Amino acid sequence: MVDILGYYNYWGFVILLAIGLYGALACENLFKKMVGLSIFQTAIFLLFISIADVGTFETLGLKSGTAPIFWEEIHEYRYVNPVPHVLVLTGIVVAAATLAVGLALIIRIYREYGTLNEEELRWEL
Amino acid sequence: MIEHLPVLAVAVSLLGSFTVVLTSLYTRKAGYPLSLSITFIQLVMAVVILMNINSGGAISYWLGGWRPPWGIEYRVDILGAYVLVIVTIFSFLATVYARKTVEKEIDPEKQPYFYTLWLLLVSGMAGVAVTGDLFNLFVFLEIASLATYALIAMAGKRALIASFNYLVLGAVGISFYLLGTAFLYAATGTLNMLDARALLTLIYDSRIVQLSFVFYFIGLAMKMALFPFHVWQPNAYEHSPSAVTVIISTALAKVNAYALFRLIFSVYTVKFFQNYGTIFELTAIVASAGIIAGSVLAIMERSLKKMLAYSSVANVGYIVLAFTLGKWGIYAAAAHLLNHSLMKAALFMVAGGFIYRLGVRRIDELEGLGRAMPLSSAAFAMAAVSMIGIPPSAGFVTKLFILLASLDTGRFVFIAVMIASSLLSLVYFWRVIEILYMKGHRERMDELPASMLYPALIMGVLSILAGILWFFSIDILDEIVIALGVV
Amino acid sequence: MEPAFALLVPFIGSLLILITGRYPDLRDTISVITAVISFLVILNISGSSLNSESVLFNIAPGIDFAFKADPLGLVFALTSSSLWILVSIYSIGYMRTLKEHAQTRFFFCFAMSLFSAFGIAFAKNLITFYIFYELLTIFTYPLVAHEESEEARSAGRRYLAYLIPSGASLLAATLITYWLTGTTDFTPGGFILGDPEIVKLVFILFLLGSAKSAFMPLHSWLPTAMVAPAPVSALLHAVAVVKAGVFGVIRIVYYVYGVDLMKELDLGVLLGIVAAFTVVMANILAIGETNLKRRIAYSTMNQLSFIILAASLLHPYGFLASVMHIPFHGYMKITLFLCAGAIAAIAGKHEVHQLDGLGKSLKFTFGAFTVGAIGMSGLPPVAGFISKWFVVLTGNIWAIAVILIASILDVVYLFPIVRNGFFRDGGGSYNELGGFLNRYMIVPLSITALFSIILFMMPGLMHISDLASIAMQEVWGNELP
Repeated sequence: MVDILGYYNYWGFVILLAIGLYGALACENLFKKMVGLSIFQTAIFLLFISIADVGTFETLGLKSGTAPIFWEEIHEYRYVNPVPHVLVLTGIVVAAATLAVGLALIIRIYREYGTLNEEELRWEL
Repeated sequence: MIEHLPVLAVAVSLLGSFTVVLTSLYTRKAGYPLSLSITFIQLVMAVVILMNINSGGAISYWLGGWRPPWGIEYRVDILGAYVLVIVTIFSFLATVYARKTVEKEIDPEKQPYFYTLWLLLVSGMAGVAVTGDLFNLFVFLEIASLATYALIAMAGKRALIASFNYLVLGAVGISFYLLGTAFLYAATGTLNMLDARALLTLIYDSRIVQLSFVFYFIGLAMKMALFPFHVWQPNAYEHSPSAVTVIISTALAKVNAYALFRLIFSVYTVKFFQNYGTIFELTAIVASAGIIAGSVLAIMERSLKKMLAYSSVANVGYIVLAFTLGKWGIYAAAAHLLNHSLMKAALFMVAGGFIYRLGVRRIDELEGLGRAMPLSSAAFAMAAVSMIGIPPSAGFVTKLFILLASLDTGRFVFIAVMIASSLLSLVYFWRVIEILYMKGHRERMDELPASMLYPALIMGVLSILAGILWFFSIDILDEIVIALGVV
Repeated sequence: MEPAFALLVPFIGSLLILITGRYPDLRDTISVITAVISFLVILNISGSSLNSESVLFNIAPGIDFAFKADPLGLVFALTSSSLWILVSIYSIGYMRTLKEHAQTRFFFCFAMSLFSAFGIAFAKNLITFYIFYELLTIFTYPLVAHEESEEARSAGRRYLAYLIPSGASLLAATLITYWLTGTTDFTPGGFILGDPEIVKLVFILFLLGSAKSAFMPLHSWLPTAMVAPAPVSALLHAVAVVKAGVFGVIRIVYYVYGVDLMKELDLGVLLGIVAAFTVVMANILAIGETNLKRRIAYSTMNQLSFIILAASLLHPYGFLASVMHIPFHGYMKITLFLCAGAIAAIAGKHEVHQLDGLGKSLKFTFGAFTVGAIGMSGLPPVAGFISKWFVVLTGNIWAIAVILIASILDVVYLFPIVRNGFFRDGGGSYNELGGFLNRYMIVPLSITALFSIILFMMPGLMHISDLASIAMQEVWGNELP
């Protein structure tokens, strides 16, 4: 039980991924699609953050060459791999850019056609 | 100097795109000459890189001086250089072609932004070709994609919807790629391709590694419009500005295919797939389905550009199928990266030219153009014949290599697939040729402007000649196969 | 001279035709000159450099893109190139009399078709052969659909619908052969080996790949292609296309499979049955056909299958008959087609029943037609007799019976045309040699008729009989009876 719940962040990743994918692909409203897409990307960032938490210093030891982040708790050193965090920062920038382009398109589409419903727009193509 | 070229090849167009924005404050005319000269410089750089790489070797550039595998490494081996040359050649030609169509199709105020995005797209594509880092590849793919979404949307109206559909599927695809990277990183703790390749040898049977490949495959399949993930592509090709169709159907599509090429042979390597044959089998089945479905959809299509788009779906299937067919398959895939670009460049350039000159989009409106615009039509016809795979054209070389590969690996079903698809492509391409040349009558009219005609004509002639030239320059393919360590 | 020269000449010629398209006189002159030079080059090769090779580049391990001027190929090349001279002169007259459109395209594609035909003749291996085989299909398409009417387009579509899949089958067979043996070089006596079942299957693929030879049931493209102008029909039936088909069959039977293997696997019988069926059926269909050109088209199917039948006997005389019938049939059939074309161009008549009494004014045309008809029926003193006689010499009862039936049927559908033309009334009167352009048509068809007779008397003309017997010695070696 503890094992299953102990992976709560991974469960969060899976649930968000599913919600996001559903939203991006199945929602009819273009804006909701963008929301879904953002959730989808956020889920992946959550995964990155989760895998960065490699475990305790004693059990894994430090890998040479990675700059470790330490903070002191009672008896152990907690080690977190910084690289995924950097990746997530980049990823957030990319996701924000995608969102911006998508929203810009939505505004243009709304001005042009007066609707954001995918079914209605499909007839325009 | 040579060792700095990989990064310079990316940087010039990146800087160029900002320069275009800055110059737009003073003049709207600077975009085209800047783009033209920058893509030409890149082309020269790419050729220099290609000529300076001997077999097995590679140019490695450490970004910021950080040692790989910790820092980002730009690593150009023979395959990367070859793809870089393809990207730059077609970017350059598409830029030449762009001038007139942009003048006609894009609002004058927005033209500088068009070239800004254009150069951004080029640098994204060049980046994919040179990078040796999995995450960096993601970033470059995304740069190229974001630029593309905006470029497509610049045509306005229906292009907006097409662009949005592409954006959603493209972003989902690229996120899948990111997901694959996350899993691979979790398994190996590295993002450097070379490093990952070495580390993976120990953990081929890890579920995480297998899953990461599946995510990579789905993501890139969405990006390169492999059936059944192709739904965004026909509309995007149909409605985008003519020049954009040319560059995304040639350079960008090849870059996405190259990313998968790189992953399969340089990161996961053939050994991984030998252990897990099912993944390869599934890939081959998906690709074959795509080849047949793309051809059938193309037959049913009435619009010229959409028909060509469906033909691209089938041709991406060729490339992916070739990945699974051993040594000759690599020959086929590598050759088809170039061959398909040659043919599609000519076809889309002429299709765009017909829109430019006459505004015709439907196939049955092309009656009599064979004699009204003989040179443009000739370019189209030559490329179409090559697409069908009539010897000794470029398309025939691909077909021959894939057939040899299927024989070599003993998978005869793909011979049937290839022959069926070649006959289907006869149906849809010959329909166009027949309407162009054998139906209706039109008075002689002006040919396309030189900047549109000659790129198309050169590509058309090359798509026939390349069939012969390939056999003279087969060394490049040999070197690629050796460099990938497949033999 | 190397065989590559023979290809270079028509290639350069066709490019010149394309460039000089704006000046019709210059273009047509170039067309004729190209034909003459090609013929001289090939004649030179056949005289002085038999079996010379030109290797251009490597395609895959064991496959070169290469040409070899072997005796069999030379017979085909000589036939095509010599006939080309006459057809190109004839085309000028025909196209100008009828004021046809797109003449540049016509002459360009014509020259490229001959280029492809020479490539087929001199191909050293199956891959090279295949490449030119496909090129021939592509370059003849614009000629078949030349009229640009709905009928012509559908004929063109049917033409491709038969020949391109057939080409795909040939490619598959070629590659499987390569996979089995690691080579595709033609060798007298054959080179293929492997599991008998696979080899048989490959033979079926090769046979499907030979749809150009118009055997039944893969024949229907040929009669429909008759909508094309007369010179094109001549090209299809006598100069290049169907000849390439039967040439391919002979190549595959004797230079890929070889006599022994064919006998061992009973493939000769299979081929013979297909051919015999076509020989008889084509003639029966011809009797029911009222359009003159289509009737002659059925006669072509009959004659081509005669060549295949003779080849399928796997007997030295059968081989000689099939090889020598390539030029013989070429000259006789082209005579018939040029006559049909001249009748169409001068008198505007297309149907058989319209021809009554025309022989009285079109003396040369009908005279030549008579020579062709005699030759088709295999009667002396026209060349067709020789090849039929060789088949009789093989002593194969079945083959002789089939040929006898076919010859009788030939007489039944060709001679009434001659009789009605000369001895019935009506049809009106035309000035055959009136007008400069008419002579462009009458002179070539008289020459081909004359040659059909000369070839009977001197089969050694243009080295034909010598080359055929050298080829026979190559194939049979010392076992020649």
